[in-house]
Amino acid sequence: MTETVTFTQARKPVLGLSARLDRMRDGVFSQLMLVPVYLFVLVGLGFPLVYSLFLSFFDLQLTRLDQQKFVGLGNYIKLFSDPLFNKAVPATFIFMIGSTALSVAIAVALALLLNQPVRGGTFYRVVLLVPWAVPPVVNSWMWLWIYNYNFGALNALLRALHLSEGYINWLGHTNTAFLAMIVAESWKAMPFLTLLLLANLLSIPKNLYKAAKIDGATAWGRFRHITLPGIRRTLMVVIILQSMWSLKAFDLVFVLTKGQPNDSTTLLNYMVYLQAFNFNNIGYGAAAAWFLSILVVVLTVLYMTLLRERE
Amino acid sequence: MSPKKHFRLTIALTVLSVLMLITTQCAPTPAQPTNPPAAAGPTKPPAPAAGAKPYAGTTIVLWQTIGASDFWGDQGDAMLKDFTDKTGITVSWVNFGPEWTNKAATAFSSKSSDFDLIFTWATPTAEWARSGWLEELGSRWTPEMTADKVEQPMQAVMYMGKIYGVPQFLSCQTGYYNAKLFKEAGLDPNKPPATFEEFIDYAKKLTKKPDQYGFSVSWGSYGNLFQTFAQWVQLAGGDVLDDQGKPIFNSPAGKKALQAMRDGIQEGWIDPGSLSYTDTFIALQPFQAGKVGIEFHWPSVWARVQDPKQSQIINDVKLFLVPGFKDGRKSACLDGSMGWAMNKNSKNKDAAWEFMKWAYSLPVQKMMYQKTAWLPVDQSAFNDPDLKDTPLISHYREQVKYPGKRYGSAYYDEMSKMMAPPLTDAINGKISVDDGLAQAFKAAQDVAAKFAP
Repeated sequence: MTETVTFTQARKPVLGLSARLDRMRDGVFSQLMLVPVYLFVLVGLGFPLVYSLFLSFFDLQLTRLDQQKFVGLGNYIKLFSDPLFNKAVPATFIFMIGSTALSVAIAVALALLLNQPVRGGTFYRVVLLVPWAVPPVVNSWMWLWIYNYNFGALNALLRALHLSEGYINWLGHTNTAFLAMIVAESWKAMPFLTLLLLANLLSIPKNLYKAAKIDGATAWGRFRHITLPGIRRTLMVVIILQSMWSLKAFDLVFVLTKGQPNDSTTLLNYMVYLQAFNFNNIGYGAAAAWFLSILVVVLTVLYMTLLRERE
Repeated sequence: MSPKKHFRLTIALTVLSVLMLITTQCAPTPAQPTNPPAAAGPTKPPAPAAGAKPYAGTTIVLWQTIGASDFWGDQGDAMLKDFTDKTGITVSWVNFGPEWTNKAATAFSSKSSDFDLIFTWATPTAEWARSGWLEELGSRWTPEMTADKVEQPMQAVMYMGKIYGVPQFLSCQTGYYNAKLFKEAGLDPNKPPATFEEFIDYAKKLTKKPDQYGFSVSWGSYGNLFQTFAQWVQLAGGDVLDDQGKPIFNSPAGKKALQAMRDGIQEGWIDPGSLSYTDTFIALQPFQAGKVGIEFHWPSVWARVQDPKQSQIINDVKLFLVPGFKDGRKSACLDGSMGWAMNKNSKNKDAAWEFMKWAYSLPVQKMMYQKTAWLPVDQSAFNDPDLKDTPLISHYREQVKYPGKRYGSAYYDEMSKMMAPPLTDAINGKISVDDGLAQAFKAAQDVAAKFAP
């Protein structure tokens, strides 16, 4: 006897969008919903990044697009013999170190002050935010006028206090112009750094200070053994943030000095702008931009490694 | 429907909407109404009948660095409306601010037709014309326009002998002095310096450190540093570039110009702040405040120094010819004229040309001069009964007899940037004038060589 077996294909029920979404696993659903963000990052950031890397291997003038030539690493090699680049790299490092040191030092001091039980503490904290709230270009213009040779507030103040007989040409000399830029950058950055540090300071238990005082610890001792270890992690974050921000400085150079005098205040970011958009050297400008990007990545990795080691 | 299901559906639909919105933005825009297709190359359109509005309904897009009010004051919008009423063409005036040339270069290179006309001066015109981005307009110029033009501002719209636009205003530097300070310094307030040597002598006498200086200028920007150098080389009888754009300033005139710039700072008759002023109008402020005796500046400064809100010297300012060196040129009116150029990829060339002709017309030029003191570009405005005896026009009628070059070249920006460090070092006394000149010359040659055909 032969047995006949018939297979009947089970028909899957047709699911609507709503039912399909309901059955989807949480992980898959969330990834699917993030597609617009991925697309935005890919198109808005990924493509320009990759394309600029591609362009950096070409001798490409915006005004002579028909004459582009593949030069491999030629643009990167050329950077190291470019006098402007050789001025911009050390200037960028000095600016980064100078502005980070100054703004972090002021931020620590201000955070310590604001952490004291003073009357109107909230008012001071709000006032402190003003420089941070000022748009970067406005900040640069404000400092341009503060430093103005004939009408600047700084020269007027120094003269009123009899600290200077004549006027000081703050933005007209190499060293003072650079210092002036560091001060302007620090003034802008300091409020945010202060707030970060202050938030950390407020979380340090007060009884630690009381106990230290009872044990006879001096103010410096309390700072060194309680405050500093307590804010060390935030301090590192603050240093990393400010270092990265200072590497991106552009508006300050653009408004305050235009890289002058004698290219002494030309930072890498401004140099990239000059090459790519003022001189239309797109390929060379892209190479300089990539150098700056690599520098930022290297520094970030270095800082993060240091932070982990400390932990 | 369960809350979870409802939530997921809402999120999914929102994301879908966002994606749809993004994709619709990527779709090509519907075609704008265009003019009849223009033949290849420069063409002369048929003249429309009087009173006809053949381009009515067309919108032309103008890329600018300033606003309409900077030309026609409080009449800016009314003037544009007047153009629309006469032609039926609507004007979309887009102001990009001082960096408009950078924006334009990227748009041009992508063959954009987003704009029809762009504001320009000698250097961008050279750069864009060399790249083939501008429409050549020589054949569109009518005999009347050609016969009526003032030569000096044509630099703004010409490159290698070809015309790529229509000038909007004449601007070239002339001398301003404070007669009151002259008097106080024992100088005759009615006798301005006639030679550069006299100018230096006067500037020294006008200097009372640290509150008063003979002269102020903006050398904090490499472009303006080059501008002064170019002007003073011409005053000394030389030239910075030849007609083919080759540097030729390693000459006695070049040395004389740089020596004077250095002396001004080292001897102290130039305001030391000049080394930090990044803009010519920042350098002007000490003059407006009565702290500087002499200034070489643009014609529109006349309106500023006469405005009591901006100036403390309204009754003391007089004009004089920028003085040349004794063995150089008598004067040189360094050019800063500006005008309109046409995008080669414009889809509205004929309508755009209508705007250019209108901007060049006498009533429009007159209004511009009366409201903002930008000088007209046509002879008829210079000879107009309402304008011809005004102080600025009377003075400039003489000043433009000594035209100064702006050396429009495709590499002006890069060259002036590369020349700045040696020039600044020489001015600051860090290196000799000879070395500064030689190094600046080498830098200029290197940049020019990159652009050699």
